[in-house]
Amino acid sequence: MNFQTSRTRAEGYQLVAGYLGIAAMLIGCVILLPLLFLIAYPEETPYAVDFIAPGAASVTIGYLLYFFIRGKTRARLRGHQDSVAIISAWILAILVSSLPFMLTGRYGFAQAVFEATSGFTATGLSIVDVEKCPRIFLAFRSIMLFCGGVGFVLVMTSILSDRGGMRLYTAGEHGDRRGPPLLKSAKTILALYAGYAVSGTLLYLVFGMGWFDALNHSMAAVATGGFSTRAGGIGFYDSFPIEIVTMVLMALGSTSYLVHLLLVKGKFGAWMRHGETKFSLVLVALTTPLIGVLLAGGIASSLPEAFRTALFQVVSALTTTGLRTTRDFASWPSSSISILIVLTLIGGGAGSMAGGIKQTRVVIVLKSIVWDLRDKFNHKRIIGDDTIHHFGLKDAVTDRDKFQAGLFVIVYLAIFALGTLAYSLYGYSLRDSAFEFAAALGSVGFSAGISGPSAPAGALWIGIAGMFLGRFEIYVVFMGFARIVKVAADALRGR
Amino acid sequence: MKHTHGLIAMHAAETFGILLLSTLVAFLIRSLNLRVENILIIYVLSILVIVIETKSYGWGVVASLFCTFAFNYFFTEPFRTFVINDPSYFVSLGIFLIAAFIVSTLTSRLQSQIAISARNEEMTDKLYKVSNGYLNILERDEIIAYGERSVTTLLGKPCRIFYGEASAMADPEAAACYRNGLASLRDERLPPGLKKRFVPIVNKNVITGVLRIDCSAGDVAKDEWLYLETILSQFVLAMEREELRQAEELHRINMEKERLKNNLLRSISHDLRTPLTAIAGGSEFLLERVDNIDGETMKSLLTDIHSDAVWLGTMVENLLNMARIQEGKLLIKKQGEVLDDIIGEALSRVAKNLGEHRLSCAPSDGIFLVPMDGQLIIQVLINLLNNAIEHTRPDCRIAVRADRRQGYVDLSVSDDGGGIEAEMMDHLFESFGSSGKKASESRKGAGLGLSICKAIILAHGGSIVGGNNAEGGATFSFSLPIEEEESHG
Repeated sequence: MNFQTSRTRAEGYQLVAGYLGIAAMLIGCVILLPLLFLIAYPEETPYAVDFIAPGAASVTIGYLLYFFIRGKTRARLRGHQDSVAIISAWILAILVSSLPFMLTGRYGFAQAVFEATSGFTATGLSIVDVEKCPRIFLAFRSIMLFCGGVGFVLVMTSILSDRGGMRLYTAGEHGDRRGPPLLKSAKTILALYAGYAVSGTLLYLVFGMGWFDALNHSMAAVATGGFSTRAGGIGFYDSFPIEIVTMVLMALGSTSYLVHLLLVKGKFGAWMRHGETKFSLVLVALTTPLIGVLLAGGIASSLPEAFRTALFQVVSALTTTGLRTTRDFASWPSSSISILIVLTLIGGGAGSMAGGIKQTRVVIVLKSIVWDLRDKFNHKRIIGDDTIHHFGLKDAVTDRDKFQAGLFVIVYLAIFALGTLAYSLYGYSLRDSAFEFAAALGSVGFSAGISGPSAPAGALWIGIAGMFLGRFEIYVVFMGFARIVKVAADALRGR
Repeated sequence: MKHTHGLIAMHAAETFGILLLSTLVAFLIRSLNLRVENILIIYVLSILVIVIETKSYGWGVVASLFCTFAFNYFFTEPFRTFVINDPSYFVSLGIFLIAAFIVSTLTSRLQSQIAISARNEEMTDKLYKVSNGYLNILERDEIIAYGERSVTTLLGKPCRIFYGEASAMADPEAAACYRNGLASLRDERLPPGLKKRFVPIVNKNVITGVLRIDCSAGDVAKDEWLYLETILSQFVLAMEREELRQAEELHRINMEKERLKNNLLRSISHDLRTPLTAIAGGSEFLLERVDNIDGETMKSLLTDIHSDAVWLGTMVENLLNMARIQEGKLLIKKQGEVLDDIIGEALSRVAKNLGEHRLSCAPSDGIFLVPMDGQLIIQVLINLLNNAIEHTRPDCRIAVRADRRQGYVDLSVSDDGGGIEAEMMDHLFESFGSSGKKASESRKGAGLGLSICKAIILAHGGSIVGGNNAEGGATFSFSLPIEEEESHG
């Protein structure tokens, strides 16, 4: 029996509101960060207003919301309330971040929301003309990418670590929903990726990029987002070393956070044996030559150049980044585009900043097919050992894992089909629709040309939907929305 | 509040961040061409927030100064300069400082209220748990142990309870407290160097015990005294309850004893009356017919009178022994007796009761002395033999044997009669344990025999057992130590 305690408990939707308050304060700070760049570019001060207003408002409102849970003991979020919290936080981030764009008067609502969504889902599709865009806004986009990516990794490894059959935790944390304390993880994750970004910036500087471009590209590459400060993307620099640095950063960004922990501890062997590592290497090794061959004689003049272009685009697609070295994709042969679409759909590592179906799931599905065939051919009495190498351990794959992985693949592909259909309803070609939606869904910045300054609002909304669904692995979005709808319906009915 | 470097750094960061934000908003307001007074309001707000977050007036002062300067520098003409002799400057500074002061005072009061409230809650909860615990505890020692635990949990200091005079006197310091009622009372400070506090445990103005608290980690806090006294009174109540319970238990036992005694008297008088009636009747008959009765009849009557008298004698002997045993005053005078003589004496005394039973006696190997109280051991043998005679068929064999082994001599009485019934086995040596079926035959000594045997044998330092044997009858055997030991009272 508990007496009435003076420290009341915050639970249920009060708790969600409180957390949203904290999120709002963080978002406000993120929006105010670009103001730092005014030190370097004081001529852009007139734009400061566009950032201060939404930023300060967000911080203030967040602070007020925080009073809901201030000083109270916090209960756990039950059921799918955590999905609601996460989805709401991201929606809030997107909406508030679209305000600076809208306040300039140059962008409409759909466009601003599109850009913000692209930023916080670490995609990189853009409606902005980068040559004419003020630096402060370019910086803001890169900051959105970085924060969106880091936030996402944090959420995936701390809160949603056991959803969707991903099992994003080390063996020690098995079964513990919370895993390591949230704040401690946040610091580690932030430090890790910030470290990568800083190193990337320095390397870019060494190879001749200007400091502003270096910083922005570095943040983008690590976050596997495709916002570039140049219209030609990385191709603008035409420098192979820069491309290599970029590819390394992209690979780091799309490697699972838990694998990073292994690397930091020096367990290279485990990293090599990790299922996803092997899989990516195989894919890259297979597709690069293939595309290279297909490109040669077309847009690429020589074989080495074709391979170089192929390699960069392949890595960019597989890591779901979207930085490019090629002018545009309209001139690419459909064969290569198809391969890129497949890579985009497959995506990066689970628990990383990348999108897509995630390699672990694809590995499980492919291996399941192999195991199934093997079981069919083997004597009935022989039982196979269904395991995959996962985070340095040999992990057994249960039937449930196989089922969930398979189901997810089906759902993902179904939505891919729907999105492609939606785009095609606007009159775009099948190739363009498929490429664009695969990119949106997989949070890759490759555009077939549909998403741009002149895109119709409807097409942009399709893109927004794709990016949002893809980022949160679909289920979380559905669960979150379902809960919200239920709560609203209950409220309306007066319960 | 602990002022660690980390805390100061954090507060500095918070203050700086909030001031930066409000300055930015101030710029925003100016660029939107709103009235400049709004900026002052924004600054007041930020000072309030800073004081709330840092919970310290100091940072509020810092913030007030900053806001005043910033406002002067950025937002009043001429811009970007300090103009110090403007009186409104002092007014705003004054207002900022007052606002900061009010908020910080309120906040700190609120904080301490919350802290007090939380503490009260915690204590109340502990008290509740403690009193709940007492409901389920019996036994004096357990209550004392629980009391110690509860005080220890409450205060966080190790404690010891000395309950009762004996316990309190055993510890010299506690004894002082117990005797004088002198204790470091709640208003007295503990003299330096003294690490322990002694608190008297009082019930109805009588000191019943002493509580010792180990104060080496710190004295009992002022607000803890009330809780301590509450717990002590709970303890006292629990002990009192226990004492009353035990007194009641004792009462009950005494009443039970009374009842048993009355039962005993009743059955004894019944048993005494029967042989006495026979003796009176027989002797009266003889007196009347002394002149013309024939020798055979006279002999038979006299024999009956004799055996009844002997029987009575045995019975009274048993009763006396039982009374002595119950009062704890059974004295045995051990001296070395010849075992064969003892056995022989017992046999001769029961000879007349034998009837058709066949008695055999296995001779012991050699003559040896055994230290014992002869009369009592004879009594034991007589009781065992009488039991064998009465509880078996009339023509059964009864065997007596004596064996010697290392340090002990074993005697046994066996028969091949019916044996002991299963339900009697556990109650053989209890008082009044005779088999219920033969209650009508009142020549049983009211079932005292075996319990007396047991008491006598135990008093000798030996042991006695009874059970069924292979011949289908019962065997009772007892052993006596041969070495001299201290005599048992």
